[in-house]
Amino acid sequence: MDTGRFAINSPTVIGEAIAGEVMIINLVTGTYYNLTGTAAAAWPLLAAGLPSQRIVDALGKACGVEANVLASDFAAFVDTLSTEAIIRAADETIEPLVVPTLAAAPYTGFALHRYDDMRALLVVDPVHEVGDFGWPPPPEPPRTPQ
Amino acid sequence: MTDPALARGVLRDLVAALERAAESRPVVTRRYRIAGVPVAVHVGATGAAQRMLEAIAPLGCADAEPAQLTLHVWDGRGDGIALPESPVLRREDAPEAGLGGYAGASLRAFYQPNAGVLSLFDAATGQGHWWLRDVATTPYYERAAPFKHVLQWWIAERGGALLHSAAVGLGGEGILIAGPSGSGKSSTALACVDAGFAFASDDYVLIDSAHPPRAHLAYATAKVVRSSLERHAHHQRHFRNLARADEKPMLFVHEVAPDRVGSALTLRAVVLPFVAHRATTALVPIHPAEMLRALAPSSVLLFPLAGDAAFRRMADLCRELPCWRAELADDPDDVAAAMRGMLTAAQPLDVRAVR
Repeated sequence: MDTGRFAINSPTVIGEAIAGEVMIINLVTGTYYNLTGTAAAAWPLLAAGLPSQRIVDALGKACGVEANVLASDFAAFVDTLSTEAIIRAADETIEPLVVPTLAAAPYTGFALHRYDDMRALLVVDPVHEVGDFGWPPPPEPPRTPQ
Repeated sequence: MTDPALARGVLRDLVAALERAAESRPVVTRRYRIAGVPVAVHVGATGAAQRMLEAIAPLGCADAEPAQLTLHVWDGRGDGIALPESPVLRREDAPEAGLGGYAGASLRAFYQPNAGVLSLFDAATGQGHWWLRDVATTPYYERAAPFKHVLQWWIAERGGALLHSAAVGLGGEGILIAGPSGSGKSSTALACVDAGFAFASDDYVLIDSAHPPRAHLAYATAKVVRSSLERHAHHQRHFRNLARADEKPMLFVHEVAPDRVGSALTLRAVVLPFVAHRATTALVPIHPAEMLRALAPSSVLLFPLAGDAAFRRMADLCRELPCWRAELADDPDDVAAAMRGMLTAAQPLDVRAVR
């Protein structure tokens, strides 16, 4: 697995943790995302620039899932986040961090829920009337790393 | 993409040119209290740009306190001020090539080539410019919500945000109604106005940095989808744009309920409306993250340069306040009664259980 560090791809991407979930918005593409469960627990550790192995260790203690399964799923999650340009490899030097102790929680995998219904807002002239498409739109099926 | 250094140079030169032009232009200066803060707006004394200020008319005041935001409104054609010929501002034929938004150390700029609107704000000086290519051809939605980008940058500097939401209230307390067009936001707001509520917004509302947050009127405009006009037939004579099939019917709420527009509302809940055609409106508690997904994307993407700070303020709001989905009845009186019940309940309530 990738043992490197990552950072949020700011200022293009912004993310906010809220009540056990994480919402992420790509300001350039208009796509936004949602993380829940284990993926949401991993987000602040990723955003803090912790090495992947330390994140996997912390999640393993909280979830009690087999280490090789967790490592494989996390690597696929990081690949997905990188493909979506949500995170990038962090090459800056980061001060050592104390890894927070995560609350015990069942393992839910690393689903990334993606929403594209707002992309029309960014076409050519970003500020215009939005259509009467109603709300909320049905979410796409979550992308779960294999 | 525009070269940032080139954009910075062009925009700085443009601001300087506008400031020089402002010294000799005959203007009318109008004073307002926006989110409780003194604001001065300079608009050409002879041009048609003054009618672009109708949406903020209820915020007008006579006080002479120093303005903390000074905004210059320009009618490019009427005032004879064209934008410089520069690749920075040439997007009509190549949207990817020119300036969409620019954020420097203190200068913010946003160009809408199709609408012919350039917004500029310098946080260091508290000065803003809203340049319209030609007032006569400026889209009606800019008149419904003038200089919204400048307001967003300005309020974000003060720890607040301009949200794409409605807000109504009773007795100084209010509810924020989130969701994009078609969700029932405007109809819910107008149903509440008709039932005696105070109005703070049907589309864009200013949220300050207080805890709990307060909602402030940004624009006294209400726009509805044409298919709902029959429901608002009693306001027929106030609606504009009725002859324009490509525009939403729009009214100014201070013409409908002049005594109920403009006061700040301390927010007590956030509501996500859903047109459910129910016999009675049901309120269902929802997860704060679900509300943030409804509130943030359109607010953040409509104002991309407000970015992180505005997003954090929205998340704060969803954490701090109870969040509800309102499954709307067709009867506007019933919708207003449900909102009234939410605001006047002495205890936190699950309205689904009592309605």
